[in-house]
Amino acid sequence: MLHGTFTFLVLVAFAVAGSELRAALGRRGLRAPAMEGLSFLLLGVVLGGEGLGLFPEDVLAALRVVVLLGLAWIGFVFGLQIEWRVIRQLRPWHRLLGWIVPSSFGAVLLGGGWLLGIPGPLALGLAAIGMAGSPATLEAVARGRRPVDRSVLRLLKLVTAYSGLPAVAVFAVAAAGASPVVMGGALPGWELLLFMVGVGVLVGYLSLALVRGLTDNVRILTMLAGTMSGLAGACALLGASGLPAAALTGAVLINRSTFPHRMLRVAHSLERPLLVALLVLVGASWQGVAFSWPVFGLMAVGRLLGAAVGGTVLSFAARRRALAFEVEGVGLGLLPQGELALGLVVALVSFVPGIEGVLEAVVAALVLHQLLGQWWLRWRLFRSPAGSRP
Amino acid sequence: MVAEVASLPVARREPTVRWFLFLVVAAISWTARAVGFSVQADPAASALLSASCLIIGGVLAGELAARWRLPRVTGYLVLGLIAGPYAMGVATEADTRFLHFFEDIALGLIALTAGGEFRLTRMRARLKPLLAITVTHTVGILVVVAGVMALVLMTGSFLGDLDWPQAAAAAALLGVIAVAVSPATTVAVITELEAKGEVTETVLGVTILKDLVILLLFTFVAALALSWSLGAPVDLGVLVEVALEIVVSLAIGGLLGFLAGAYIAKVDRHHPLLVVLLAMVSAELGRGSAVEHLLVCMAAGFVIRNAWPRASANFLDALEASSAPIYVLFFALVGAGLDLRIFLAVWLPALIFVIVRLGAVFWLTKLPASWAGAGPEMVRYGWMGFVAQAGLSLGLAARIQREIPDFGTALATVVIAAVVVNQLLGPVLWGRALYASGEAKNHPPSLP
Repeated sequence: MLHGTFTFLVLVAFAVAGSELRAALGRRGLRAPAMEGLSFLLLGVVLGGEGLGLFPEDVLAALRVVVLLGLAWIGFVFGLQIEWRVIRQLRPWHRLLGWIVPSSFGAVLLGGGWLLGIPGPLALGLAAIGMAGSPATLEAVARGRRPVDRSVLRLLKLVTAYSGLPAVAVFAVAAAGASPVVMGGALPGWELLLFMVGVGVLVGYLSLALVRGLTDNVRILTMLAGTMSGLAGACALLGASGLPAAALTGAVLINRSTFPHRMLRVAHSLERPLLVALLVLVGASWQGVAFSWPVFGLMAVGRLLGAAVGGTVLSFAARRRALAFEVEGVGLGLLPQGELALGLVVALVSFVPGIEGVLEAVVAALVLHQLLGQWWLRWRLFRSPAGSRP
Repeated sequence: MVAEVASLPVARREPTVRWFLFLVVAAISWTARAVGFSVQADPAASALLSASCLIIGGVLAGELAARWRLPRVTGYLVLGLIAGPYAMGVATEADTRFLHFFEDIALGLIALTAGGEFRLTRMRARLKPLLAITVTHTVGILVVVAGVMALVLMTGSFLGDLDWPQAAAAAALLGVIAVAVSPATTVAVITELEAKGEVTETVLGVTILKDLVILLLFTFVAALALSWSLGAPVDLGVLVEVALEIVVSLAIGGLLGFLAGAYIAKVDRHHPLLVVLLAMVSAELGRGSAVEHLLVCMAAGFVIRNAWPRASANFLDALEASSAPIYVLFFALVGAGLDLRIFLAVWLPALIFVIVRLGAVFWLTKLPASWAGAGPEMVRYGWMGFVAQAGLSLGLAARIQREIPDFGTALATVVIAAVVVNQLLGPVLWGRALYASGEAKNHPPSLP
């Protein structure tokens, strides 16, 4: 049996290896931001109890601290991107689209979950994961290429960037509903939800007051790590993920801080190491070859249907605004997901008990959509730098 | 950035507000733990709440300590002591145990920094005082403290009724523990104050050399003590084992340092990951009894610094710059582990031990430093760097408790009580020494 420190050692070694791999891919002009996260997850699986057995259960129990803090930090960094000043500048119909399009994913997945008999909190959690799009793939593919239609590109960016907001909101409800405290009847779900919102806002203002006047980035980071630890711990004690509450904390901090972008820079410096640690540890906790086909079917087909509905809504809205919308199958551009979706999956499997095979199923669907979405973006939306299609 | 920070209005009431907020955090943690544990127990969540209090409180206590011209480390320690399981209980004993894995990383980082500070080119010039102080400390402090404590233990019944061989054995063990210092505290204060100069380098050099010698010395004295107290023959085979352990540790550390140095020279990226990697390899190897975690990291830091002086400069600077958050939690956890009740139980022999040790350190640093031609600052203030005691002394106390059956537990209690005092006193004196000698670059704000 190996010890926690060795686990960390392996984890760090793979972080370095993963980073090198990314750099090597980058040198060859290949970019796959979400796939890199998945590679850490898969490496964790290889190293874990069902693979090489390098992560005994007692070690994983001790390193749960890292998982809890990592999830909260993902939420926190996401929250730091919710700038009210920027959102206010958007046109009302843009904001409306930002809610409606992700909701179409959520509605389809929730309906599908109901048809398949998937329990409420789990279905809601899956819906939240399905809603969380990411502009990262779009931006990566767009580098050095000219879009066929700029208005499509702009709308896709807007909707995918905005989608995290409704996704995290829905996830908060799912997390509250799935908490063992609520399931056991010790606390009503709405009270836990209220607690999460309260803790998020309170920690936001606490962080704001605690970092005010600090001039050293390292000290600011230390203070924020302290407040995030408290938030993650408080939420986890009541059986809920700290991710949604931390997003609120981030939102409060970015909108009330004197130097908002400094906060973002400081938070980003810890995001990557924590994300890597989190993904490898979750991969390592993988047990058995369980695969939930209903969940895979729901996520794979449900998101495709959601993309079709979302694409139709986008096209309709664009035509109403007299925009030239030349590209077909625009919904497929909504499929790629990023680190927030991965964070939500991890949060779901870490906090909802007895859902074997869900992680594998969701990750498989995520990979499928990533590939499909990238294919569409590369071949339909963009022209290569030379003007010919890649 | 500097301009925009400079234009900030500095409210005088901010520290008070921050402390009030810390109390709010502590209250929330306490309430959440009370409510949460009534419905479900999650030790990781509870540990996070404790870590949160220790980090936030540690930063605030560090700021307060700096305002009073004390090292921040003192603030972290005192906060840990107050918030820890033996005082307020904001951080519980189970939580501090749960966060134990973190200490290995922190210790590795501290030892790497210590090794990295040991520059051969500069140390060569200070070799004479370095060796003179190390030898005088090792022999002198051991003899003086052991002699006085033998008289004290034979006249008073602090450890129960001991016959003279037992009292001599106990005194010898106290003598060897008196030689030990805390490399972690020494390095943390140097890093925090960005100190450079003769006093800094000589004290650090002696601390590292003493760290090498102390293991061998303790094993030898423990074997003698066991023989005296039980009447058994002296087993000198253990000495060879320990000597081998030191050599193996240094060799492994050197190899790791060589690999890391080559990587830095060639790639010069992933510095934080490399630090964690080195610390973890060393800690993992240290779990087997044949290797000393601290020595491995010190040797690695030494090789990186001296084999690749140019390439390693960025790496070691980054290491020092990023160590601040780790020191906060590490020293707060060390503080949380100090049990004041133990001190109150055996305060008299512990206090005698502290005073005798302080006197021995004072004279046995001044005399050899002066004889070996060290600078006046070193002669005057150098002794203040050898007061702090922490992990190493506590580890030796644990070995006493384990290996000496008769009076081991009582003796270990006295050592732990003395460590409480020395660990609180040490950083304060060391910080003062660095300010007084003019080697502290990072001056704290003036007294409020």
